[in-house]
Amino acid sequence: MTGGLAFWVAVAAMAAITYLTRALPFILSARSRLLERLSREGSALAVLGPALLAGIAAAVIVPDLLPAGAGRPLPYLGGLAVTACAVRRWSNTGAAVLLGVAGYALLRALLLQ
Amino acid sequence: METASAGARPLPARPGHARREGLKACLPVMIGYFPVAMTFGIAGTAAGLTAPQVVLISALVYAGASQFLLLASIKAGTPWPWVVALCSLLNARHLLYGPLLSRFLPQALGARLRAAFLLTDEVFATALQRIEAVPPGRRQPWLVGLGLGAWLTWIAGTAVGAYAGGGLEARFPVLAEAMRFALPALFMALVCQSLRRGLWLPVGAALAAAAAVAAAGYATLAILAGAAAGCLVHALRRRA
Repeated sequence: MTGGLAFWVAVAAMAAITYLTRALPFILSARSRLLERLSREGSALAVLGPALLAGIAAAVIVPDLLPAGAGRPLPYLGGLAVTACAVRRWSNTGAAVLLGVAGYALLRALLLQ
Repeated sequence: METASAGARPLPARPGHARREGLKACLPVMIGYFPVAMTFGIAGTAAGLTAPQVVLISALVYAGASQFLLLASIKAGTPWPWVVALCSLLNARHLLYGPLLSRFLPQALGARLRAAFLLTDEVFATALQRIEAVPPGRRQPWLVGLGLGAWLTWIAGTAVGAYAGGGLEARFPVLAEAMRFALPALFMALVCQSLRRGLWLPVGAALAAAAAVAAAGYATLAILAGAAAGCLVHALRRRA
């Protein structure tokens, strides 16, 4: 199923679709009234960015916490708490991610031995 | 739109410096991307693709969810038209990124189209947080630096996973397991940084709605549900 013409046509189509979904708003933005409304400062949709982020975060995190996922909720939740505290304390995303990963690894070693 | 980096130093005037500053801003994304890309490289070769094929897919498609969907489809034998249709649904959220960023970018269409290729979830999130602190004339090179750093890290991580991943996992299993936590940690950090006065309730609603839909097994739909719930709560509060 891999390496044939149909496979590479599908890969090319996926690449094109991905690019189009990213580029289309920029092509339309000069004229589109809808897109102008979407991006206006203070509009009801000003919350869209943070809400999308929250949605992506939930889509990444929740499946890992379900029984069929990673199956290690305590170290996982602990690691997330460490990350949240670190980013609120120092406002440095990179450092918070590294501390979160370290916290997760430590808790996993302590709790799942 | 306020940013978490409101107190950031002003950037130097030259475009090269702006690109380097963009690259520096990319560091958290790189930390999050590398292990995920490595995982894709390992899984891709395990699915029967050659290492150059796996790297080429990462370079061309450059969308984590779509790429993992592709591997799952190889395993499940899903027909390619279905895979492409699912990929379209997965990527629909990208349509919302351009309008939010467009007011920060120069009007030249060519420059915008070049930046569009690099606009992943994480690049968008980082840009949304920090681009306002960048002087308007330097935003394009800053975004290119940010996006290129993420793209090259994604390709490099895939290559390491495809060519050497199996050996690394066997030799350092604890490290490999811990690094898988980098992506959730990255999103947790980005959500916390996006929180400011007046947004706790909408973001809380977005998290709750997305978590409920994701728990039901619809991860892609969860992203759209979260965005819709957040906007709805925000709109209702403004009317009240």
